[in-house]
Amino acid sequence: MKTRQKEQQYIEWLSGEEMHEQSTRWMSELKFVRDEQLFLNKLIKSYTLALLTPTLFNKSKKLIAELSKAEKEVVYLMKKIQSHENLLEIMINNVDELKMEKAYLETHWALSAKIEDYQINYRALKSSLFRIITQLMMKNKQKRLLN
Amino acid sequence: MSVKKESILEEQENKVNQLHNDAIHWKSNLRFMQDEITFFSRLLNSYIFEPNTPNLFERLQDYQERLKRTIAKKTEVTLKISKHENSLGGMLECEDEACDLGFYMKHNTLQAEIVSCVQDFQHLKGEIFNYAGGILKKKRTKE
Repeated sequence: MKTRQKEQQYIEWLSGEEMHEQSTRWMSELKFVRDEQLFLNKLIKSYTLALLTPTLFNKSKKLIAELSKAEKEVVYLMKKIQSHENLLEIMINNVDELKMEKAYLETHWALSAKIEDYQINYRALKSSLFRIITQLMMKNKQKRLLN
Repeated sequence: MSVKKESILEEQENKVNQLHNDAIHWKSNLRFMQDEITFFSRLLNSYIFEPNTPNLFERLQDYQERLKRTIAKKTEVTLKISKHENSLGGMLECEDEACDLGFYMKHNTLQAEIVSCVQDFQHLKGEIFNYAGGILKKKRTKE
């Protein structure tokens, strides 16, 4: 019979206050992302016809689908942060609940990783959108100069 | 080299790597910030806004000026990061905490400056979103 190797993992311990600070910062960052998404939606609407041209259609369709997905995901992440914050009492109630505190901390790090991933993906999406819109702006400018 | 010296050097290398990674992260954020500034600057120069908006030109001009100031600040901060990165090698020779502390203090001051630069830009972006979002042309012709 094989002996099962127990995996040891170390995680950085944070105080309740530190975690609260981080959660507040995440929330603020994601709220900003929401505002930004509202603006980007208006911008996309403003360029709808240009984005529907055959050369750009497939590219923009895919991008807009991904942006919509990101919009839903940000709401989900904000809800997650809120419920995580609501359980912060575990860390600050002066009761020794090591298992629960450890679980809370693990959730915190998992959430941190998710938010970081989200931000990286969202940044890439924004860059793609900026590239397409910039192309359209340039075309528009050239047209304007020729007329 | 004695074992003690080797372990000190290894420890210093880890510290330097950590600070260096922070610097890489900052530079990546600032590069993306530059892309965003370029995009917003082009957007403000495009004819995408309703032309009959009161004070349109003045407002757009003000945002352009502030974007220029942001670029100048970003360039200044980027230069400081490069200088800081170049000086990090000196930390390898530190043998006591007082010496490390000097580097850490410089690192933290720089970090505060970067955070402030990024936050100012976020604030400006927020203003642009609020203003420009409301005056985008409703109907666009096919480009």
